Amino acid sequence: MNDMLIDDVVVIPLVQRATEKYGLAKTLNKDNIAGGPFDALYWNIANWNRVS
Amino acid sequence: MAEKRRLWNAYQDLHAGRISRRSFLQRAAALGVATPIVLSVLRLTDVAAQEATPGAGAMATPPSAGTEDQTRGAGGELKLLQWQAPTTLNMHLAGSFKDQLAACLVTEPLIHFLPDATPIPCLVTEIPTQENGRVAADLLTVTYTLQNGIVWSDGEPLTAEDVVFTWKWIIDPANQSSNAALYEAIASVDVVDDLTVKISFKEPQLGWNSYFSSAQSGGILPEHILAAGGDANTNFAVRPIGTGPYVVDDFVPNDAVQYSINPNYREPNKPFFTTVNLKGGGDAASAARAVLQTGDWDFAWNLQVDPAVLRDLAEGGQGDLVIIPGTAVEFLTLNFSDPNKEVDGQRSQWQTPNPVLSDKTVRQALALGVNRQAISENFYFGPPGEPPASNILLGIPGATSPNTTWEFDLDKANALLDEAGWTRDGDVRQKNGVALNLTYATSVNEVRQKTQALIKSDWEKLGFQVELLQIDAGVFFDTSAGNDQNFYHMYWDVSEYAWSPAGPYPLSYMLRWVSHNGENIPQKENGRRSTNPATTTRSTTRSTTKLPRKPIHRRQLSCSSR
Repeated sequence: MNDMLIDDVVVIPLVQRATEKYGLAKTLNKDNIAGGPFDALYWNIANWNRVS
Repeated sequence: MAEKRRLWNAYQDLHAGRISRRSFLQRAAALGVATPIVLSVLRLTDVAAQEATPGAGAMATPPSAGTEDQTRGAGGELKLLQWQAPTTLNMHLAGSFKDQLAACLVTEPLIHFLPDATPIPCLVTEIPTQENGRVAADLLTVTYTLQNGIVWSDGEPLTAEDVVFTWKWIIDPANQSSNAALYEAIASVDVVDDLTVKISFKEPQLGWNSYFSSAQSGGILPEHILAAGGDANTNFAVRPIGTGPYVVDDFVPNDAVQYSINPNYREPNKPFFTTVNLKGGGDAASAARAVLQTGDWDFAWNLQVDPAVLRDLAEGGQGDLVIIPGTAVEFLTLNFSDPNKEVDGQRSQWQTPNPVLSDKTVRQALALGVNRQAISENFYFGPPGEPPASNILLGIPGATSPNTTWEFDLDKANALLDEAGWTRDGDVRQKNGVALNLTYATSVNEVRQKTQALIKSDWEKLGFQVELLQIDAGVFFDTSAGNDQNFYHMYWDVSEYAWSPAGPYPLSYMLRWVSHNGENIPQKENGRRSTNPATTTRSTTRSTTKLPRKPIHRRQLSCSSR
């Protein structure tokens, strides 16, 4: 269906937009943030910590 | 609803052994269903699962590196700068992400989603599958069991009754929940035992895990607090009681929230941070500076700042910039109806062909005349965070079409128009007395205006005359019936905005593009949509004569207006 819409030029996609653009202190452990398009950005805050 | 029926047919074929799992996976992917969603429904072998998504065979848990030996509360203050400050702390009243974010430290769903859409348990023992008997073969029911021993922050036990209550609270019109439309797919939620709850759907749900899931729309509410209604609801919006790692000490709406540790949180050595200070106000640029450059704050969300400025701030500063690719696509939609002719009291009436855009050659020329690379790199962050797009369905694992391409070629576009008989009369081409005049509308937004200007200048090289319209975002995305300046009415030729699926199960997003008279042209449904069964449950379609019966699902709206 995506292909039909593109082939028939019903829609012209421009850019895949970022879900999120965030900044974090270098002292925070980036790996445990785990932000993605399908859940709230702070969803894993119970596991947020500092880099040791 | 043809897509939904096709998916259901494919599922039945699979179940009867008429098609292979691989073939089902392909059919589901073609309809845009994320691989992890399909895998979670199907009983795939480890080998097949790993072929489909690398790593999907492993048991998924929340990332928790370095938390093993920590002591609860040893981390001191965590400072979150959230320039769009929260208005309410009730997740089910959330107007947009800002409120969901502030609420999710307290209020938790049954399951979360990892960035690749893999579901993982939060309050429950395991993710339902058909193998473990929790997802019924007919996809009409799903059963969850709560982890034993979880208590609310006030010490009361979490029970199956709370899940039932949450559903009733969300769909009660008196509560005006922003998630009411989403949860209407549920027929009932019933207690099986103290910790077990069964969700029954009105029709088979491949998207069964869209409910009570994610910290955006799935939070469980405490019956013992909210059953009283009235003031209890008012109090809850500022001092919510939850099962999450934090409790709210102080909340000033549209300003700031102070959190401290929930003493009853189920994991004894978490959370690490003693307090959380969530501060609103200011703007995205000052928030970016405070985290990336000066390091005064730990974390800043939604940095909608010029890419070049952000990169400079991150260079050699105290913080890092993270760009997460998403499912939202910025696109142009082309109006197949005529916005300048009034029929039956409507403009852009679906049976009135657009004199310019109903010619496919013209549409192809317009597509060739859009420099997506320049837009991606100059106005957005460029690849890999914000790459040029050739699909409307992106960012969902396993569902991206490999069949489409895009190119920017003005010579080729001019040649196409020459061949099709659109001849130049001065700067503007025409054919049979119709000139290539277009109106192109979007919301007031610096990036969108730069995009408009670039596209206009290239389209004018092809012999189009382009009039740009900029409409205040509050008006452009407002769906009131009397508002003829919104993107639903499309009283112009070309619209630019962004839209994204509300979750990893994008059927309602794709249904938005379905035209029910056999062609995939959304505008043709104008004026007829209010009588179509598809639109009584899908609020994402448009009508020139009537308001959609249901409010637009807020998460989709917040995506579209970002």
